[in-house]
Amino acid sequence: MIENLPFLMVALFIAIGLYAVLFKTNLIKIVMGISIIESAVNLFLIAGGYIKGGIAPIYTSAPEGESMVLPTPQALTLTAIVIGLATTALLLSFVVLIYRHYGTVDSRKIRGLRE
Amino acid sequence: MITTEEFQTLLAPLAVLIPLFIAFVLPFLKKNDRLSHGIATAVAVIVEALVVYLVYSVWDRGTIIYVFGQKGATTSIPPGTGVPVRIMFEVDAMSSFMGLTVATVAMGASIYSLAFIKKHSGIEKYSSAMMLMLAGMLGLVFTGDIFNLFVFFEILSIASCALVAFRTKRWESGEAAFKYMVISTLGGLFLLFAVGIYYIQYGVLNIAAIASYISFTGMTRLNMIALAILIGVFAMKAGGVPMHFWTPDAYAVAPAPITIMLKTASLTYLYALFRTTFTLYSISVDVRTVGWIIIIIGLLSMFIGVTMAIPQHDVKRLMAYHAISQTGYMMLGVGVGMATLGTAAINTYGIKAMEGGIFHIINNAMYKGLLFLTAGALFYATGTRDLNKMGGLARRMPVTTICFMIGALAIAGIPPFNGYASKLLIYESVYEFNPYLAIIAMLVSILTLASFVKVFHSAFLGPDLPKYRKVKEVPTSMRVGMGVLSGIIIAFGLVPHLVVKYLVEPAAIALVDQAGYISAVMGAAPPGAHTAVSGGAIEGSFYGTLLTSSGNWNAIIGVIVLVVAFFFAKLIYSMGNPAYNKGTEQVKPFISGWKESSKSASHVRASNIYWGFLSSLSRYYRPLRRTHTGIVNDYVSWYILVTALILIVLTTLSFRGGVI
Repeated sequence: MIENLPFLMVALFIAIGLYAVLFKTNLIKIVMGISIIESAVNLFLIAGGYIKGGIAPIYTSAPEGESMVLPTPQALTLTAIVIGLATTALLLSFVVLIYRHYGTVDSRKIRGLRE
Repeated sequence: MITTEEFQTLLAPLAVLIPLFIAFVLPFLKKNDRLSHGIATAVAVIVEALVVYLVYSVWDRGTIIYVFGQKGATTSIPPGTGVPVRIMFEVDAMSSFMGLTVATVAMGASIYSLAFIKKHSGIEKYSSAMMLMLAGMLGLVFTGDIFNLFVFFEILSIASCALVAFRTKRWESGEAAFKYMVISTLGGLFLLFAVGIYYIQYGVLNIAAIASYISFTGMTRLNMIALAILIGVFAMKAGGVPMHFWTPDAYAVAPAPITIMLKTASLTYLYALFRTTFTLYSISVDVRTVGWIIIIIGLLSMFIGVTMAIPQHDVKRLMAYHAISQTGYMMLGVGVGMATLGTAAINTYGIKAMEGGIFHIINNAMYKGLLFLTAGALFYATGTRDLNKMGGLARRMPVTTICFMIGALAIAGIPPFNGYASKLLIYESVYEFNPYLAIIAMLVSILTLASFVKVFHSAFLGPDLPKYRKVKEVPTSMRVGMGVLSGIIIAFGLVPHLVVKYLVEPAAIALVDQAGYISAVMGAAPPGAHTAVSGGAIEGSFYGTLLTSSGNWNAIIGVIVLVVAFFFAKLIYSMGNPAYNKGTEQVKPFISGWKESSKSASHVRASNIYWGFLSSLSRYYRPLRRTHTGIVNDYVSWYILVTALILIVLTTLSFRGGVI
C-alpha cells in the first residue's frame, strides 16, 4: 500500500490542478493549476522509476550487487521541468499582455474572440 | 568523404538541426531585418531541398533510420538486452510525405513574409520562432522515440504560441495566444503522462519497441488509458470538434504566414494521431471502435466546422473553420482505414480511403495555405479582416483574385483541381464502408463552396469602394509565395495519379505496415503485428487516369472537356443579337421604371448574403453559438470531457469485444 502512495499523490495533484484550470476564473490561478499538473506528471515519472532499496544510478564507485533506480525517468523529468519553465513563463507573459488590454484577469470577461 | 548512403541517412537530422541551430543564431541579428529573414528564407529553401531528396531516398531504399550518437540502426540495441536505448529518427514513407508537406508550406510562408520586413519590427524574433516551428514540425514527423515526440510537441507549441501573439499591439493577440497555450500545455502534460505509462510498463521509449511489446502483451488497462489520452491530445491539437475552440482564435489572430504554419502544424499532430493508432496499437486494439472514434470526430469536425464557417464575417475566422472542416475529411478517410484494419476490406476500399485521406493532407496544406495567404494579402492591402467592409477588390488586386479562385475551387472539390481528386477517393471508398458518411461528406463539400462564394462575392466583386481607390496589388514576395502554392495545386490537380503513385500510396502502405516499422528497428516483427497490404491498381490504361475504388478520374480529359465547353459557350455567345452595344441605354438595368440606386447601396454585404438560410436554421445555430463561449475554462472542459468519453467508449466497447 505504502508504495502506491506516490501514485495516489499524483492523482490528487492532477485533480487539484484540473480543478483550478476548470473552475478558477483568475488567469493566474489557471496558470498555477497547470504548474500543479506539471509537478504531478513529473512525480509520476520519478515514482515510476523507483526501485525499492535502489541506490543513485552512478556507475563509478557503485557497490557490487546493489540495484539502482532507473536513471531515464530522472533525465525525462529534468527535460520536462525545463520545458515547464518555458511554458509557464510564456503563459504569464500572455497574462500580462491580456491585462494591459482588458484591465482584468477574469476569464469570464476575456472573451472578445468567440463564435 | 561520406558515401551517398550515409548522406541519405543524415538528411532527416540535418533537416531538423539546421533550422534549430539558425533559430538560436537569428536573435543576435538585431535591427538587421533584411539579413535575418533572408537567412531564414534560405534555410527554408535548403530544408525543402533536403526533404525532397529524403523523399526520394526513402522511396528508393525504404525506411531510413538515424541513431543519435551511433552508426547504424541495429547497434542501438546493446548486445544481450534486446532493447533499443538511443534516440533515433525513423523515417518511413509516411514521415517523409509529411516532411515534404511541412517543408513546402514553410518555404511558401517564409518567401511570403519577406514583405513583412518593412511593416513590422522584431523580425529577427519572428524569423527565429518560425525556424523553431519548422524544426519542431519536422522533428515531430521524423522521430522514432516517443519522449522525443513530446519534446518536439512542446517546441512546436511554444514557438507557435509566441508567433500567435506576434502583433502584440492588437488587443486579440494576447488573448488568442493564452487560450491556445493553456490548452496545448495541458495536452502536452497529458502526452507526457502517457509517455510515463509506456515507460513504466515496458522500460522503453522507442516507438517501434513499444509497438512490439504492445502486440505481445495485448491491451492492458494502462495501454487503454494511454491510447485514450493520445487520441484526445492529438485530435485536440489537430482541431477536431468539439475540441476546436482555440483554432479560429489562433488562426485568425496570427499573421497569415504563421497561420499556414499553424495549419500545417495541426496536420503534423494528425500524423501523430495516425502514428499512434496505426503503428503503436494497430490490430492489438479493437480496430472498429478506434476507427469509429476517429470517424465520429472527423464527421463532427466536417459538419460543425463548415456550418460555423458560413455565418462568419471575419475572413480568417471563416477560413479557420474551413481548416477544421477539411481536417475532418482526413480523419474520415484514414478512420475508415483504421476501422477495416485486419479484415479483408482493408485490401479493397480501406487502403483507398486511407490514400484519399493522406492525399487530402498534402492537398489541404497547399490550398488552405494559399487561401490563408490571400486572406493575408487582403488584410495587408485593406487593413481589415472584416468582409463587411470589403468590396470590389478584384479590380485592384488581380493576382490575389486569381490565386483566391484557384484555392477556393480546390477546397470546394471542383475538377480539375487537386481537392477533387482526393475527395473523390474519399467519397467512393467511404461509400463502400457506409453510404451515409459519403453523403455527409458531399453535403459538406457543397456548403464549403457556398461559403467561399460568399467570400469571393463580398471581397472581390461588387462596386469599386471609394476608400479602396488607392489599394495596390501586394508586393512581389507575397505574390511569389502565393504563386508557388497555386502552381503546386494545379500540378497536383492535373497529374493526381503520379502523386498518388509515388507519394501517397507508399505513405498509406507504410502507415498500415506495423510489422515493417517494428522490424526496421528491432530486426524482427512480433507475430501479432499487422503486415503491409497491397495498394491496388492506381493508374488506368489511358495516361493520366487515376483509379479510385470503384471508378476513375482523368484530369487531362476533364480539362479538354472544359475547354471544348468554353468554345461552345463562346459560339453561342457570338450568335447573340449583334445590335447589342456597350455604353448605350441597352446595358442599363430596367427596374420597372424606378431609378437605379447607387452602386454602393446595392452591394450585398457578407453578413447579408445567406441571411435567409441562416435565419431559417436559427434553431440549429443558437445552441451552437452558445457553446462557443470564448471562456478558456470551457475550452479545457470540452477537451477533458472528450478524453474521458473516449476512455469510457474504448473500455466498455473493447471489453465487450473480448480484446482484453
